[in-house]
Amino acid sequence: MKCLSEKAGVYGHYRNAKLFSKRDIVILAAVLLLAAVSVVLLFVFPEGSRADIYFEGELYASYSLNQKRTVELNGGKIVIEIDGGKVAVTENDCKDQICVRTGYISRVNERIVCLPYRLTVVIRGKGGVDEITGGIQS
Amino acid sequence: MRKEFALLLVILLVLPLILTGCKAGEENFIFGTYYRFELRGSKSGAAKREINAFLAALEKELSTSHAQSAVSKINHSQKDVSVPVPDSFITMFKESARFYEMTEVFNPALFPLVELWNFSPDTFTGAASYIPSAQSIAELLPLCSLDVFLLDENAKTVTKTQDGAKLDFGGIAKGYAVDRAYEIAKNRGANAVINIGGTIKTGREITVAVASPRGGDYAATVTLNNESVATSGDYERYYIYDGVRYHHILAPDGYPSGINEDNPVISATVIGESAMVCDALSTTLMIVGADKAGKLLTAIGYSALIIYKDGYLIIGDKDFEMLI
Repeated sequence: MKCLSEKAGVYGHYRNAKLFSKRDIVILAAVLLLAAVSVVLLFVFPEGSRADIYFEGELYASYSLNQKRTVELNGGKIVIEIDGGKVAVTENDCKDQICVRTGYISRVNERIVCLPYRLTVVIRGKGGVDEITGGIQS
Repeated sequence: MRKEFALLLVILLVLPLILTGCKAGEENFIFGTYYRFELRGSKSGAAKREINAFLAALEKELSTSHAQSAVSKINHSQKDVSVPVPDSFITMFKESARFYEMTEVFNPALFPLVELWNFSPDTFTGAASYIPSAQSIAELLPLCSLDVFLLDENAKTVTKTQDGAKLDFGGIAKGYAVDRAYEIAKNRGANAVINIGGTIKTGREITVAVASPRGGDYAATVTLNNESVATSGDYERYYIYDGVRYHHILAPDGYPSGINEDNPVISATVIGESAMVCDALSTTLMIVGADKAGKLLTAIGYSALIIYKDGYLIIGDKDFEMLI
């Protein structure tokens, strides 16, 4: 069994070190700043509209509508185009093609659905209506 | 001093998490359409799980597309065979009967005709290569009555008295599901906004847009709070054949509602306390129009926006902000 006084020696360094050094203050300040900034960001910056893409019932991706982009799913059989603040399913190998026929959507809470693939493209963002009643059924 | 500092640090770090609130949401599919809900409250997570489980179970019991559902079993059974049915089926059956008595046109037994017109989920393709003949429609009409189905509530079975008779609760299933899901959330103390295929119930103030029956900008917007809304239209499931629009809401004569009228109803939105009642009455309005259904709506304190091919009509107190 080790001598207790020797053990004290190993921990003795930590017990003798300053509890609150300059480095700690810097780290603390950085963390507090980050926390404060995140709180501010939640309230001050409005979100631009985004397209949330759900595939097979799970959220696959969320893209800003501001950037032109082509999204391919299911090995390229499903093609989603984002351009100029709008999004559309431009190609799909599903039977009914309801998703493709829906065309471009751009307003908050508008959605394109494809039941066979449990695919949903829905616009999220501030402003606009909360819900839409009526619409194409798949 | 150090302890207080540490506590302050923890609070500041946790603050952003607290401020985003206790929320739970879902975006998925049921009954061949999308559903989404947003819950707020400390038990939102538990309520979300319960609602998802309830909706999954309901679809297994009532969907016409699920081979093992009670509805499918009844639809494919032979006459005089007693088919065991779950409670949800019994509820749908009794409520349908109640709505039929109330409206004289709401009929879930029209499914054989819906299939004939290729409007069932399994047959619909958005196009048609033929239109059913008057004779084929006339042949199926006698089957299309709730009277053909005998419900034994004690034994929990349903027996049909004629081969080929089929049921479809599509006209009220969404509304029923919305009402029940809303109740589940409420029982958990969660404030909810539930939307199944455009049938919505909300526990807080929200703005709802009514889709335009012919595309483009919304037809109207309306503010809802602690109430439900449902919409039926001739644009939800339809095809155009020989320049004529045929849609999935059939009238008692077996033809799509309004097809021979000069100024038919093309969309009906109903607002009131129960999503299921809104669901049933929006379908009813499509078939009978405002003259007959207006009194019924007013008697139960519900409102409606009826959009015709030309023009619109508002019934009740709700303030619709029209955009058309």
